[in-house]
Amino acid sequence: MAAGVPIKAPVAGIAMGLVKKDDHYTILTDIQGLEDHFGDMDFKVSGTRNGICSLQMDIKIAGITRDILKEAMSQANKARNEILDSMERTLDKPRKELSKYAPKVKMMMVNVDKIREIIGSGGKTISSIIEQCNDVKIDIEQNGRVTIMHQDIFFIEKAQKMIENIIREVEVGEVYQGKVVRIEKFGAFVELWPGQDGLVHIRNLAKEHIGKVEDVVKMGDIITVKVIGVDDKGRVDLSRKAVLDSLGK
Amino acid sequence: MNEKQVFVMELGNRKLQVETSQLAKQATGSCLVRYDDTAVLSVAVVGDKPTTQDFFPLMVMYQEKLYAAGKIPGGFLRREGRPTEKEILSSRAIDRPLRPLFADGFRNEVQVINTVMSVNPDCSPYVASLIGSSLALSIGGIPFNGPVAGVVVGLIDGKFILNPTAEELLLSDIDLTVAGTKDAVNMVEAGAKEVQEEVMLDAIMFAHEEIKKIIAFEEQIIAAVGKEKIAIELQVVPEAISTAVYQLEKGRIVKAISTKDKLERQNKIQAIEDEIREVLEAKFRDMGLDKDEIETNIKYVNQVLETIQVDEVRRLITVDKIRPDGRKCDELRQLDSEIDLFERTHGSALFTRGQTQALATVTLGALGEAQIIDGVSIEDGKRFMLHYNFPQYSVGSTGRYIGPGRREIGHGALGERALLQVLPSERNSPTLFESFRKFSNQTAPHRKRRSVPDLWR
Repeated sequence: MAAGVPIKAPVAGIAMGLVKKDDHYTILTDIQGLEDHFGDMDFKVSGTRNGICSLQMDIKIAGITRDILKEAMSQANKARNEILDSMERTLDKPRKELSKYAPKVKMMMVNVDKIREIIGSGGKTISSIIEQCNDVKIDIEQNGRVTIMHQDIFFIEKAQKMIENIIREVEVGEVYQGKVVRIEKFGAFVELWPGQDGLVHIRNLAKEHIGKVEDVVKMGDIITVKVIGVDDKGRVDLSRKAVLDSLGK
Repeated sequence: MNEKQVFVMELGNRKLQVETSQLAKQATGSCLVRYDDTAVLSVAVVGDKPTTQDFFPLMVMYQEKLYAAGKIPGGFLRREGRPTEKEILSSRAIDRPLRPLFADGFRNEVQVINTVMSVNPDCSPYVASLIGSSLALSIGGIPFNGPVAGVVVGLIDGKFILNPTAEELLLSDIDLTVAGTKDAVNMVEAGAKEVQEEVMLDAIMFAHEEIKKIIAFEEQIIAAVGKEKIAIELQVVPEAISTAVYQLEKGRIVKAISTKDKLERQNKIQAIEDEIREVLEAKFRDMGLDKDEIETNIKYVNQVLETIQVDEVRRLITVDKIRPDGRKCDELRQLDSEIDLFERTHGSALFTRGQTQALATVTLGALGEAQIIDGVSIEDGKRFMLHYNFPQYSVGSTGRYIGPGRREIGHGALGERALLQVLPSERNSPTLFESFRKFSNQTAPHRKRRSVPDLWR
């Protein structure tokens, strides 16, 4: 609980003993030292307030009836609750936060077809993510489960973002804010997110006819664009005009 | 040459078959137990002369060979190495019900070796091994108060299941192993998903009914092929030594036992015992005994001294209803707990009960670091590991530091089992846990007696 592991409930354990002489018997709570091996039965029970989690019992004599066992178990139950009371005075539930030195973990599911892209040729893409995110640990399982681990949640989230960007797919009709990253005679390349560019052809830059791309946008501008098509090579066609049209400007 | 004999019964809707008189014929006793596709060779051997040790030299082994599951060992050498945790725990679970059934003073060496030859993960090789061990001892005529048998009980939808399959065990609310004779249950080992005491009791009783059936089957086999009982010379303390010790003791130990403080009590008793040993050793020397004879006699003296203590503690508890440290029967020692003792560990706590301290740390890791278990059962990774260490310094002794012993592994497993029930699922918290326990300042156990240091004491 101190480590912030979200366990269902605190668990306590107790060692019990039993000494039997003829028909008389005595059940002992919390046996120690001398009582260790002198008894006729010893058992250890652990559990939560709700019930038993583990039990170990050694009985050296015959004649331990169900009633005796029942009594012993109920005496153990009482002791277990007393120990839980004592523990809860120190800490009564798991902490919300993990230690700042503990590895934090985030899990995400990705489409199995995308695993290759995340890894990249010869592991290039994933190595680059790991490098940029302070040696974050990334496990990718065959079923598409990606586990990202690092002591610092900041780097986990950064890596998560980078992976999300790789697996994100452009959808036709979607509107994005993007940055102009390259200007050519025939149009402007706009970065929708890191790793994903699209082209706004000069004829789709504005409602009116323009002579030069630079008349409307310059490098670094943030503009709103709509995806109007993706060709079979994955090249994205964008339009600024379409956005302006829908805004009725 | 004896003909191979085959005996069959049904156990939990599967065939349990025992074959005798075929394998390991030079051993004192042996048999092959087949439980469906699972097969275990159980062999018992008894030494023909008593040793001079002051404990019962019984060794029980349970070994799983990977060939039983058609696997090649992992690792660089591709050779099976030291016993796995499961083998150690199974060995203990066979040893525990057998050991108390041998007579006091039994000093001949006894070895019981169980080798799993073939395994069907749905048919517990432990169950087969315990039945095999009991039969090997009984058939061989080694005297003990057996036979014994054991079963595993599961609970699904309020119904008990005898010797559940691997799949059933995953769904079960309890994983209970019970062993016993026809008269009584003598060992219980269980993990449970927070079940009530009543349920556990019912399950134990259910198990005992099944155990009785297996024992009736064992008795039939023993009647058919059992050898004559071997006469074993039991070690008895010579009357003269016993009398001499009592004369010197004069009730002083009895008085010292009722000392409240543990350390003080131990020191007092120790002093009296040392004195008695010294006086008697001198006496033995005067009698002209040689070194070996003196040593043997001193062992007898120690046994008498131990008996004095056992008798007194038992008398105090049952008659006077007083415990050595003055506590009431249902009274716990003083409890205390503290957390966050160290900066860089992911979690730490110190739990104190009387003079016993448990120092626990938690390490969280990535799932990829989970332990892969190389064994004959279904391959599985282990996400939560509890490592229990009991260093000798915690009882103020020197000792060898060579990795965890059987007992440490057993205690660790019990704690691990308990905490496993409350861990978050892998989906909710994909983290690996490692917890490490260490004890210090543990009550020093009486010399010659096994210490029972653990989380619960």
